Amino acid sequence: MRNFNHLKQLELQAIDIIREVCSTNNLDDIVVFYSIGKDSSVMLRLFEKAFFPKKIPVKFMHIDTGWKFKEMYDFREKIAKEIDIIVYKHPANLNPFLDGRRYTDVMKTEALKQALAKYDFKIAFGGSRRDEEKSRAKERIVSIRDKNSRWNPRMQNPEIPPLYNTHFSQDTSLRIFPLSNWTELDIWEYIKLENIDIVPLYFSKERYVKKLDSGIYIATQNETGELKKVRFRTLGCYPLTGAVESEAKNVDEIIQELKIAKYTERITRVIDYDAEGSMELKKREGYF
Amino acid sequence: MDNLYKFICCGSVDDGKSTLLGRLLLNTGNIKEDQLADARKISQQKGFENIELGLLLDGLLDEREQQITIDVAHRFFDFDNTRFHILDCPGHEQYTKNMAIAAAEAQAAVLVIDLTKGVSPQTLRHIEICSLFQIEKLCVCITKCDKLEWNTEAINNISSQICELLKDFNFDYQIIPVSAIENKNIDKVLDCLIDFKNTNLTKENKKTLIHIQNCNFDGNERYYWGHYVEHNIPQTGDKLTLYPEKIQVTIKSASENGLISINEDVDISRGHCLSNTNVIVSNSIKYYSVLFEELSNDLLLKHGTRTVKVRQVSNNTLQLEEPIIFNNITDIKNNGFGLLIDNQTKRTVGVAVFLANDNNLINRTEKGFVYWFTGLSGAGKTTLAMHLMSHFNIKPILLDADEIRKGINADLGFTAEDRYKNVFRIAQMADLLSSQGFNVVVTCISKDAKQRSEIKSLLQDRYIEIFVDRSLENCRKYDKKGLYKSIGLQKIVQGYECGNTMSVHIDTNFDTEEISKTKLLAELKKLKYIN
Repeated sequence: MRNFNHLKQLELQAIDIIREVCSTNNLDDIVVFYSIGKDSSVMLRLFEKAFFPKKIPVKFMHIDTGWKFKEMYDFREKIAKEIDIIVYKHPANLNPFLDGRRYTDVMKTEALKQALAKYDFKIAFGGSRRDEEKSRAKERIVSIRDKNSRWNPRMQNPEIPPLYNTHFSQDTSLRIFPLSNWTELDIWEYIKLENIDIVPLYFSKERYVKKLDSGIYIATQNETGELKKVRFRTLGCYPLTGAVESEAKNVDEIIQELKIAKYTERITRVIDYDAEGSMELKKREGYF
Repeated sequence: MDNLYKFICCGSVDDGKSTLLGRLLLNTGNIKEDQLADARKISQQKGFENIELGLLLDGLLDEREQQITIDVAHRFFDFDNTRFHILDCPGHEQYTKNMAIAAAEAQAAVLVIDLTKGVSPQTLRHIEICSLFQIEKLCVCITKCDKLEWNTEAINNISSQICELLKDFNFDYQIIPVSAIENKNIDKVLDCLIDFKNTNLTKENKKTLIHIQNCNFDGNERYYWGHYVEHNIPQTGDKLTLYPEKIQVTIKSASENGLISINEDVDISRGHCLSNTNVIVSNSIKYYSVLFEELSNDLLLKHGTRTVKVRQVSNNTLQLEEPIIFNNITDIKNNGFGLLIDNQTKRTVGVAVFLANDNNLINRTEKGFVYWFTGLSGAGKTTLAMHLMSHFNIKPILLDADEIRKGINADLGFTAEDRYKNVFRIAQMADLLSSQGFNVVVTCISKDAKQRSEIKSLLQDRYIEIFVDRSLENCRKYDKKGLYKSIGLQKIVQGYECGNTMSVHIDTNFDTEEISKTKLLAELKKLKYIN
């Protein structure tokens, strides 16, 4: 590995974590959160590689809010032809325009807890990275959650990768983050290296958008938007996900764009900008 | 990026770690404008004039409140075609264990020392931990030089203090005075890290060590998931030893993703190990621990791909239910520690650092030792041999000449030729057993120096001769077994020849039994023939 470039090293570390967790636990207890985004696409490829030449033996699950971009649903249908994806949606059907903050609490955090309980999953893989946000810089690769799925930074295990404690007591559950040490740029370079399929929204195209103080958003059919060349750095619910003006039409151009980018990808996500430490507070409540 | 390099940033609390790191990130272009704006906003709220660079790193709310680092933060920056992974450590004494954990993961350390405060006990503690976890490279930054207006005398003073301190350790180090606020000498810190990284790249390492995670059978071929501990991937045709069985196997294929197949039809499963370098297989491990919680009496040890029950913790020795395959931390860092897990809560309560043996001993314990007690009848060989036997966790095999004469050697009499044969057969048995990894204890008069030297050339460095020295006169005096009353035996035992093959000399003419026993173990320990 000494002669591996850093991307190959990150890949091997991630595969190693996946195999270790799956070797030490009951496969029926394990689920991989699938958000349809670029990190999920990378996770899927890593799972394929980890279990090659066999098929992936664990389930994937999408927590749906009903408010994702249409292109995301199309992409999910395509992927669902290759792997089984469980789709779970909270019955409350809240609306991001009307319900404000409660929308995220219920449709994402609450939904996640319900889904885990319904299928009795005890170990959930996620695609979070440490470079995404400050509280995540302190997150473990194998992270413990209490019985209400809540994160307590004080109760985490000391961890010395590549040695992981993948055991846990009955009143706790685990979140596993194999992409912890990847950066946004790493994700893109890996997508290029592995020729990974992603949602077309990541690529620049002329789209009808409306400009608000908090960012650029896709105009709905009833709104009169202006035509702009934009793309998305992160994908989520369309009313909460901002676009960036960009000319990057393919992976190579995105990589070039990122190398000179002035802002992090989080700037396009409404959830982080509520208050100081908002992500930490959401995680303490059980957000992924 | 060609490479990935991990380093910790440590030092005493408030010595300026976060500020220095914030500067490193900023200068290498790894802080984006929204992160800077965030830090600027909070700095203003807290009433600071300038942007508090440390805020670029401290993440948890508690930490921002108290302006201290509690947990290790992971940051990344790209520079000179390298991905640097920083593990930013807490400086408070009560969080030293968090720092230790980070040190176990890292290859180098940036140690900060405040110019206005000098070397603190916590600085020393961090240096010791770096040394324990085999960190070889140390970049010592004397921080806040602006506060004393770069006073040369003060800087030289601290520098020589640091040099004096590091004399006792084996670091490759550089000392750099810096000011993060004035942005001075930060480039030197970066140059130093690049230096460290480059020497690491050119270091040769031919060790291969693979822990098997699982067997992946696709119906045709058996594949194994391997975790590469030492950073080498074997080539097709490489011969490796399978542990714990110690069978030689040949690599058929080994991918960069850890998918391995071998030519031989042997049973391999999780917990096995493939290696071309020496490893220790034992259930008794000397260790040093970094504890997060008090140890309960229901513990597990996770090491490599195995989780085994701990039978007993005593005298800094772990007794495990089953053996594990490991190394001394000084030998192979990443195979030299394990996680202590509470079996009830399944929480990691500490880290056990393996200090098992001296390298010297590791190389030889591949085969067993033969502890050959020689001396006249009644000299005390059996008593001392029994005492040595009780020292081992895995009992050695005892070959007592008297017992062997009753069985295998019952055909032999007491002529010179028969006595020679008697000793020779015992030596052959010892050879057979020790070459398969068993420790053997022999009690045998074997008074012929020439024959003992033959035995030594047969057993080579497995042979440890312990001469239990009691004169014929004294043996006769303390003749408990009544041996010397028989005239025939007297003839046999007289005339012990000392020779030059002796490793340990125990004089039972004057020393009492207790003293002899203590001396025996002390001598063997000194020579590293026992733990």
